[in-house]
Order: sequence, then structure tokens, then C-alpha cells
Amino acid sequence: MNISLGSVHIPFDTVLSALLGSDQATETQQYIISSYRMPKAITAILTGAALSLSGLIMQTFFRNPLAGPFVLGISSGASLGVALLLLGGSAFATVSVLTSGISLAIAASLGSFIVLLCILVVASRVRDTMALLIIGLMFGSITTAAVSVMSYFARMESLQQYIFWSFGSLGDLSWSQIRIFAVLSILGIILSIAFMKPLNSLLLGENYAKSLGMNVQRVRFVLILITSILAGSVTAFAGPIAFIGLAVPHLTRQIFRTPDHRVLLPAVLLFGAILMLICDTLSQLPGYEFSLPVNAITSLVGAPVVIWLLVRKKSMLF
Amino acid sequence: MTEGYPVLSVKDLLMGYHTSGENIQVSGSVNFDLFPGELAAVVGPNGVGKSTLLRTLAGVHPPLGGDITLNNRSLKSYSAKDLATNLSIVLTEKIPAGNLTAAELIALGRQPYTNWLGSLSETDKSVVRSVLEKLDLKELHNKACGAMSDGQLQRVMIGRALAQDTPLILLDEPTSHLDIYHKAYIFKLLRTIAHDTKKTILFSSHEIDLAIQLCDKILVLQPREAGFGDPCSLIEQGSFQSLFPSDLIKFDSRSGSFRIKK
Repeated sequence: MNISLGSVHIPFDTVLSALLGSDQATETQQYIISSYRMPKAITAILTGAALSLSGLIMQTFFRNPLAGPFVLGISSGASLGVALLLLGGSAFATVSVLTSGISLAIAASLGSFIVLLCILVVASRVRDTMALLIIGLMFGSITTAAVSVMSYFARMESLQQYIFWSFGSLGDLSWSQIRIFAVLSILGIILSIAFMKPLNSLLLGENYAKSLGMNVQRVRFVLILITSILAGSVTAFAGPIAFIGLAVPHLTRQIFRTPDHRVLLPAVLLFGAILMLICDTLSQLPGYEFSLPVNAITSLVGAPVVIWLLVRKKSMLF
Repeated sequence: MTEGYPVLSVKDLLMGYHTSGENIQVSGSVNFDLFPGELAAVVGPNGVGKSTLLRTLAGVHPPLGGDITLNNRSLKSYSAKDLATNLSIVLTEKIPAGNLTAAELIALGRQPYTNWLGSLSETDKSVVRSVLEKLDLKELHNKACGAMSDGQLQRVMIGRALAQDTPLILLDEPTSHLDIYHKAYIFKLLRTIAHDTKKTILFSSHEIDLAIQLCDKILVLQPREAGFGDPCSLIEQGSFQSLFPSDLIKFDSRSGSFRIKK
């Protein structure tokens, strides 16, 4: 369904037969599907699943329903990396080779990795998880400030390029990039499955979790690591995608009404992937020749969902 | 009721904080032994270190000096995992996950015994069932803990500690926020649990009257010294008279309670 929609219309049954290997589709259609639509759909699935899972982990870890995958400053770190490349790079009039997709992904990963390292160093010194949350937000503010200083001095073209990156994009990923993305996401998912039990004991708060035999320091380290792998790789390959990580765990909790991670974890992966596919389909504006930035769609879908949940339920249980 | 060896043995324990190279001592040295099946209360004025004592006994807070022995083994020698099968706690803090049902919450107490996924075995399920039955929580088992009254929630939290199946249970002010009926209810419940299951229960409390009536042992914490014994002998020693400044309230040793001076 998602694959059949785009600026060139391809009928649904043609897509299906093309995917199944028959030759009903024309060569052009075949090409569009295999090198553009398919990678995009897979990117959407990976992005939605990875962001929702890291959102779920962060909400449990910080015992805060407003926590999302980016509270630790991971996306702002990535933005800083990209901004340094695009805006800072332009100040020195560097060659345009630097601004290709691959180097953007590398800059974003480097940026989020550096912020992550800072957070991990701080996390080993700070005992209070809430302080960690605030520190993450502060890191976000610092990088945002740095980015705005750079954009003030940047050239217009590079500024535009930066803004386009920050819109988020599920397209223009090559199969080899998708392979890396998939490996990282699956690694994050496997790690979190191994940590479902400590996640469940964290539902009682850190003190109780400790009394149940949990190694708080180690669990904290691994959970931050998982989130950075998941949210970091999404940001690196698809840009900062808003709201999915925050909204999907809440949506899932409304349906399953249990905080048990053994139920929530697979459900969140599934819902995240589905919602992201829907957002992507919407952003292609069926029938039109251009597509909207996917970040705008996720916010347009995500924010009302969160508001609706709050109004309907008085309090956000988690 | 002093049978076998003590579950918890505390010798010359000094509690306090270590700040900027200086030791700030909270109370005098503490000595006591608790045996299986005993219900004991820690009483004392605000700020004398009741919570610090419980945190120290739970291994969260390092002592300044002295020895704590749990089941004939030094508390320091326990790993977090070992400790989880020997000691369970009930805290005053709120549970962040309001969506957890009573049954799920109690089942979390089985975590030290479950596999890496945390799935419940038949034994775990039967333990949870018997805890629900024992604490009269059967009709509550599907209720979210965010929607429970304070008294119900406290019962569930005690149930969770009970499901952890440890020889020693520590509770920090289990009856705060409760009305007088539910205070008495929790006290009686703890007493029944201790006597029936032979678990040792130690809790901090401001309800000195109730503690005198229902506890086997009481630890009276005071800034300089700590008294320990059964309620009657503590009354005879006059341990409660000196607990508070005598300008407002006075301990009446005949009724075993405090009276306001008129």
C-alpha cells in the first residue's frame, strides 16, 4: 500500500506482482519500486520501530511520561554534527563533496555519539536519574544555541540544506545504508529484549529495583546505550523525526493497558512501524507530484494524539 | 520466642554521613538481635535516624562503624542478587507506574527467582496466589495501583515484599498517611505475618502506643543511646519517658501511651 503511492502512480496489484517477482510491471515501475519505494518503506519501518522502542525505554527509565528518545540530547547532538558540517563547513568555503548523504549521516552519528559520551560520563557521576534528565535537556539547549550562532553566520544555501535535513527524510537511502541501519536497529532490539526484566522492575522505581537484585549502574548504562544506538542511527539516516518516540508508547499503553514490557515491547515495535508507514504515506500526498517533509506529518499526527490522550484520561498512566 | 540463631544481628552500629572528610554521626551506637518470627518496631523522635538505620540495614547506606550480620553472614559480603533473596523492603515512596495491577505488582516480588525474561513458573504463580489470599487482596487483584486507596496500596506493597519470600522484611513507616483503623489493621497484619510465616519484620513507626501493644521487640532510638527489648521491660526501664521533651507530653507507664499535659 505504502509502496504503491508516490509522485508516479503505480497500481497496487502491479506493485504486489512486482514484489512477488512476476513481470507484469514495466521496467520503469520495477526500477522505481526496487530502488526507491522499497528502501523507503523499509526505512519507515525501521525508523518507526526504533524510535518507539527507545521512547518506551526512556519513559520507563525516567519514570516520566513526557520522556522521549531525544531527551538525552541525542538528536541535538546529531543536529550539531550536521550543522558543523553544513554551516561551519560553508564558512571555510569547503567543497560540496562534504555535503553528500553519506557525510551527513557520519556527521550526525558523530555528533550524537559525542553527546552520548558526555551523558555517559555525567551519568556515572550523578546518582539521581531526574538530574540526568535535566542534564540531557541542558545539553540540548547548548547545542541548539551553538546551531543558531552558526546559522547566523552561514551562507544561505547551506542554511537551506541544514533546514532540509532537519525536516527529516525517509527517502534517498541506498541499500547498503539500509543494511547498516537494520543491523544497528536489530542490535538495539535484541539488547532491549535481554533487558525486559530490569525494565519491569524499574516500574517500581530505582530503590525497589535495587532491592530486587538489579545492578542499577549497569542497567542504567545499557539502557542509555540502547537508546543512543536506536535514536542515534535513526537521526543519522533519516534526520530528527519528531513525536513518534513519544506518542507510540502512550498509544500502545492505551490499547494493552499493562505496563509489562514483555507485552509492550513487541507491540510498540509493531505500532511504531505501522504509524511511521502511515505518516510516510500521508507525506507523499497521493496524486501530487511532490512530497511533504515527514517531520511535519509526524508532529501533525503525534501531537494531537498526545493531547487527546491527556484530555480523555485526566492523567497519563504509564 | 528466641529460637535458633538471630536472623539479624547488629553490634555497635554507628550510623551517619560522611561529608567532606568528616563523619557526622546521627545517633549513638545501636545493638540488637532479631530472631525468626519476631515483629519489631523502631521508634524515636524525628531526625534521630530511623530511616538511616533502615537504609543501612538494607545495604543502601554504608555504616560508619560496627557489624551487621544477616543470617550468620556479614551484610557486606552479600551481592545485590543474594541480598534480594534474604531481605525485602517496603518504602514510603510512590510507585511511578500507576497502571500496574495488584497481581502484577506482587508478581514483581518474584523477580529474584525468575529467569532472564522474568516469566513466572508454577511455583511463582502459586506464591502470588497464596499472598493474594493471605492479605485478602483477591478482589483487588485486577485493580490498577494508581486507583487504590493508601491502605489498599500499602497492603499490596507488603504483599510484594512477602512474595519476595525473604527471612527479613524491612518497612519504612508503613502506617503513615493511614487512618487509625488502617494503622491498627497494618500492625495486626504484620504481626500475623511474622508469627505465622516465621519471618522477621522490622519497621520504623511513630505509633508508639500501637507498637507497645503489638510488637515483640522495640528499638528506641535516641540521640545518645538506643534502648532495645520487649515493650514491658522498656516501660519498666523508663525508656519512653526521656524520648521527647517533657513540656508538652508525658508517657503514662500504666496505660502505655502518651498523655498531653493540660
